[in-house]
Amino acid sequence: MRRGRDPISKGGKMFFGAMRKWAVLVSCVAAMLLSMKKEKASLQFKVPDGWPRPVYNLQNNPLKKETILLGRALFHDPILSEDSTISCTSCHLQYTAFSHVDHALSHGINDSIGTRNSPTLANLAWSTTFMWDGAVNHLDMQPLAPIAHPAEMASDISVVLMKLRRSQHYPQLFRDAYGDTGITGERFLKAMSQFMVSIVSAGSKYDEVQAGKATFSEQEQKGYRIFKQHCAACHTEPLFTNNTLANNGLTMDSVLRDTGRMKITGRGEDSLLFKVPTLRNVEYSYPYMHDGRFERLQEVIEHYTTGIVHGPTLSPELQKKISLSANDKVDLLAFLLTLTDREFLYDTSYSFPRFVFFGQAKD
Amino acid sequence: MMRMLMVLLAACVSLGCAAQSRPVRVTYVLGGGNEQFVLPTRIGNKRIDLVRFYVSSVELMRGGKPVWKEPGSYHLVDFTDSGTLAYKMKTPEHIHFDRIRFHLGIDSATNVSGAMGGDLDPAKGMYWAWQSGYINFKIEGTSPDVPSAKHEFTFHLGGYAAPNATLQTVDIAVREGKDIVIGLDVATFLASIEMDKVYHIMSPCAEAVTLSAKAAKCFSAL
Repeated sequence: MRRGRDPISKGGKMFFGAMRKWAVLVSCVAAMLLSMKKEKASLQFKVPDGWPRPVYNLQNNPLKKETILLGRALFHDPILSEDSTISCTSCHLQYTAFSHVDHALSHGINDSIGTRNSPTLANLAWSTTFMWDGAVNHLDMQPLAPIAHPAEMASDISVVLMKLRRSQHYPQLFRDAYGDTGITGERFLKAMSQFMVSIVSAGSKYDEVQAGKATFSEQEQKGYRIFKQHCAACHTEPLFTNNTLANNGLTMDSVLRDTGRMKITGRGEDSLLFKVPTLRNVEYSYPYMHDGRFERLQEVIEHYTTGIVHGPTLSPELQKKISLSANDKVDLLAFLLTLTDREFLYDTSYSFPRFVFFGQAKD
Repeated sequence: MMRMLMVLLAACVSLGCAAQSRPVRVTYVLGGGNEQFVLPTRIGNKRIDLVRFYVSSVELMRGGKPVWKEPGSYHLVDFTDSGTLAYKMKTPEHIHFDRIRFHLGIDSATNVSGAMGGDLDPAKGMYWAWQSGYINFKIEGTSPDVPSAKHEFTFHLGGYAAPNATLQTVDIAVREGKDIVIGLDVATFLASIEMDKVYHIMSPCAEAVTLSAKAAKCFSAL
């Protein structure tokens, strides 16, 4: 069979040969440049020792310094809300473990009160479902919910994108992150994910003990033993959640009448199922439970020992009464406080990126 | 001159950029065989403001077997945006087919895979915010049969998980050698709904599954 370039004349061959050489040279240089750029661009996500692989697929959204910064700027920016008053950080403050301290139910736009307590945010790369009822199936899609909720930000992603395109800062931030100023839903959500994935809490005393760099006090050690016996089935180490939804024996609030997972699926067997939250930084993430009904950890421990309501969907782990002595409770509490990660709470790489909006301070 | 042309032709062939495909054009129209509509429109006593749906996993068939599958096949068809109503498929030359088969909606794997771009961008208005998942089929308008104040009907049909999975397969005969024109018989679809009872669906539910199946039956090649 004759090949495509057989019938070419000598002159054509020379011309074509030169073209080919150029093409090869250009593509080699381009490949080199691209690989250099790639090396420089993508960051390695550090999985803490002994932790499972992240659930979030970083191959679909390779971490990049500039994209994390874009996500961080968006996380702190009230531009996401309808009247530009509410940011993610309004209800997820870093100093209180990215939760809304002192608010059983968070308030959003126009002082609207929602129906649930804002959950603590950490180690989201390992989360399989999001929201207290598991309504959101992927970290990328999580920001859509508060942006659109009428009592939170009361906006819409298409409106947010329009505002970002018109803003003074974001076209450049998107260019830094993605190479051009195109502001799309996919880019916006993936940048948010990159920042959220970067929020990792793995530096508590508990972690240091696991790494052999510290030791528990006798009381903490006793508490750890109690924890492993009674709590770890659901609040599984090292993430301190097993990522499931469960009925933890709370009475239904007569005003909120929140049925949890059942609101999403409509199935009776999902009644009163709520996501098992992580206990990392639990010292700071008060108030507790999906509706923030308990202000103090003592009340939470009290609930699990004396307050369990036996209903048809109660978690199997709570069917048998948990009996703890007064000393046991104090020991358990001492252990829970070892889950506080102060470095995480004050890590400036999560804080409001002032320099993005106001430039670098001179000193 | 001839020599130059030969060189160009040869370069094209060897670089793989020759016109290897003779694209089959697909066009969507609102209406069955008899009457076609441009939104907003009136059909009988109903007004229709919006019709928007996803077409995915497009295949051309011959003798009941697929002869070509469209790669990366996701199309948002929006009858309020004329730019979405026709496109060329990158079909190979000399392809023989007698049917087109596609999904009405977005498959479950895509529904759980995070943020996507292009027609799948969640900013396109076809993604639920409060609960993850694409809206496969949207139709909005008014009907005097609807017993609410403004007589508005809103059908946002979606849901990817059992028992309320709404994804449908549409399989219709087409004429070979012609561009494909797919009509959605919206009048028949709306007539199949008892609007005095069902007029507001905005979440995955059994009714959404029923209506999705009805919608899938209203497609035909014109």
